[in-house]
Amino acid sequence: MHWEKGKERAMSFNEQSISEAFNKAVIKTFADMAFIDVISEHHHEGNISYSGIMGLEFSHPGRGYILFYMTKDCKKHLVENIYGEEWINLSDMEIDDCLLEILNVLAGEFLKNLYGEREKVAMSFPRLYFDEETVPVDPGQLKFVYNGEGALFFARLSLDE
Amino acid sequence: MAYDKILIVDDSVTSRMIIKRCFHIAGYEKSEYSEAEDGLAALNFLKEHPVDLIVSDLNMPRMDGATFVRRLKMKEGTSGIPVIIISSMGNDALREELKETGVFSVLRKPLSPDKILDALGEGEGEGDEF
Repeated sequence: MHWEKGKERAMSFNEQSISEAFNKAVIKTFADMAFIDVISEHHHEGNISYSGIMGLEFSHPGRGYILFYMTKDCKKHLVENIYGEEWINLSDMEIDDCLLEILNVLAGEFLKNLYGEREKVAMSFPRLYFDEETVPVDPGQLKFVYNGEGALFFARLSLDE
Repeated sequence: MAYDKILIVDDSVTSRMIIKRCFHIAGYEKSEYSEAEDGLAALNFLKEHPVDLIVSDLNMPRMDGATFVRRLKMKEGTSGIPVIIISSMGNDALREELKETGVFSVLRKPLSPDKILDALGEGEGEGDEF
């Protein structure tokens, strides 16, 4: 995992516990939904040519957002594994929906890992960002880089309690 | 118990596909499946089409899963249909709340065939997996 340390926050969770909860959610969701083994990568996100951004905001128990930046290879690998179909046979709607559903499940898993199973969770619907200027930017966001069986992708996480 | 007609309610076409696939693997490959993209569409569908089991997401546009179940349980013709809720936002409080409205079982996404079998009392685990 590459992690650019952000601003210090007054949180009861430290950055290590947050990143552990996030890493666990990414690894489990990719394995359970797409049968893809994911590992944290010591790589700089700037070297990854992503072809789309998807995100989701949550407002309870904590407030924040999750963003995913994926290469086309990564998206293709994920969607083909989940659908059991070749990329070329899938519609744009199916591809987008599939990626957003992964994010939806992953976000729920992350919040469960971090806050436990007793807390109620409130999340927005996941969405695709077509204009980078509308993507939320928190200077203190945590950054993660992963390798999904050869396909690199990265994520950004913002969390305020 | 036979669930010959199963209605899947989820705004994600991918999630509906995964749910159906899990039911097939769990042994329900001969059941007839119908799909609705939210609670409102499901209520409309049920006016004309009786089903034996409903599997519904929680977080959906127009009408969410909790509202859908409450409406379903208020109607004489549909109040007895068992409902399984599947959600990525599961927690103990929500499960208890949904159970009080008459939900049969509450499962966390991602779904698996084993979770379905457990929920239907045909597996080795407990009915709810959160």
